[in-house]
Amino acid sequence: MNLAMAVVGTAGAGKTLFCINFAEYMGAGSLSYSEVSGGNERRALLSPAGARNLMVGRGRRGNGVLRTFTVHLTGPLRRLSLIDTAALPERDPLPRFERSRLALTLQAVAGADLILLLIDVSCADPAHEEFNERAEGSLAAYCRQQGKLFLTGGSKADLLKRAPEKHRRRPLYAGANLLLISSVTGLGFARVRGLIRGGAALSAAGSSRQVIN
Amino acid sequence: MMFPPARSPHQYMGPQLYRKIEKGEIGTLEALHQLSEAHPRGPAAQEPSQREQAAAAAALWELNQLVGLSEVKKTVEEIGAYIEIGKQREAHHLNCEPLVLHMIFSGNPGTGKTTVARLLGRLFQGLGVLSRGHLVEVERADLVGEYIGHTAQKTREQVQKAMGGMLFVDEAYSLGRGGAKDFGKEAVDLLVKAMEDYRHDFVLILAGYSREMASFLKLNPGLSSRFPIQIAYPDYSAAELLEIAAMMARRRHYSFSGAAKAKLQRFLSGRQGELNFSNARLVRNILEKAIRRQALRLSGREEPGREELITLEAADLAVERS
Repeated sequence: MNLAMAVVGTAGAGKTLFCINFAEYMGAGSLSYSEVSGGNERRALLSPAGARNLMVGRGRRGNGVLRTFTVHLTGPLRRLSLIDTAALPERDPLPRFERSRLALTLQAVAGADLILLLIDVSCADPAHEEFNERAEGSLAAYCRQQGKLFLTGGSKADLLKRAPEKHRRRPLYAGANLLLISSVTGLGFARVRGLIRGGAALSAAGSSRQVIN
Repeated sequence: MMFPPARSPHQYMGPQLYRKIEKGEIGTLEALHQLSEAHPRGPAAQEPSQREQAAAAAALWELNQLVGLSEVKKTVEEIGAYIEIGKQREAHHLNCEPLVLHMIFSGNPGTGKTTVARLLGRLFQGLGVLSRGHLVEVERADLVGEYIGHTAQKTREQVQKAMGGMLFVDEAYSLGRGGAKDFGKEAVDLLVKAMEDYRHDFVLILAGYSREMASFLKLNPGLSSRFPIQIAYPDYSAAELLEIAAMMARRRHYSFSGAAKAKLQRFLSGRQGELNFSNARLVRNILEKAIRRQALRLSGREEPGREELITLEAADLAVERS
């Protein structure tokens, strides 16, 4: 079976690096990659290192581009599509150029089987935290309604100086534990893989109503 | 289901939501919030499993077995019919707004508020309205904190626990006590926000005594209108209470003798209308005491017969002192 995972989050949450490194962790030697922006689509085949070099780092932000990395696997889960969505804009009202990006991201969320919300745990801005908290609540409710898999990942966990327990609390209604993830060290990747495989098995059995981490 | 990038966005997320975003009428958080409404229920969440349907049928049967409560039974029947018709409307691609099920239960103690809430949770889960259907019972102390910020933390924790099920706030009127500076008001505000934000997978039930609940709702303008379902639990009549007592006894393999029934009916008729009359709870307490007294009465005898072990006599009913 095939599974599509939408990786969602605000700007700088680490979505792109997670997608590339997780695809590599899942065994992808090369990434089949497509990019949608402004109604145009591009396709390419990249190595993980090439993708990191091209897309990750200062000045290499996605700028509203929606990327899909496809990983071909063996076993019941044949294909995993990692959708690196455009950043969730925090500004309200939305500037004109960010509206179509948001629409594109919501399209990806609506089309995916699994939603991973990435929250930068190294950022302590309360306004940012509140935004993430509310986004998490809405996405969790949507996934419950739709019977989709949903999990919240605390990205950049390698940057935490304090004990990670502080960040394990989930402040609001999502009803989920925060899964600490580091795309640099690979922390949390095994757990995400387990959840994806578990979710795929449930979907194949037709019994999945919701799985929340 | 795979994600095809070339598709038009509104095919997935609904044309109305797409239009609102494009016109700049809503921001990110509002768009995420409206995503649940804009999108029909997913295939995996759409149909409750056979086990859940069986659980719903069992809950409905149990509800119908409860003595009295005609208004509650009628409301539940309406909700069930709405959900059923909603599924048929969805099949015909007609608009079907999810039902808002927040409720106010008002009635004296022992009139079945908590029992009904538990059954409703199971029923709604079986009907596919709630994902988990569990009931979280709280009271003022579970929601109201002791210092600034504490109330928000406690209330959110309880709402989080109740997500996918029901939050039952017993003696909810106590949140309105203590005046404007009391933290109870903050708890109410947070509950109102949660019931609006998560109305599709969370049901809030405020319960309490009739008179106190009426005063509480008057103190909070607009609160009452947020609860589309308001059910008054009337006191049981003496005959209904007698029926409840007989049913409770039957479940425990006991029965009342004729004289015991007559004595109990006299007592219940005399107590009705009293301020602290606790309806079915009072009956349960009487029954439990009667069982203990029967045991004491029979303990002195050698090998009492089956009939004696079952029957509760008038002498076992300590109703004068209950």
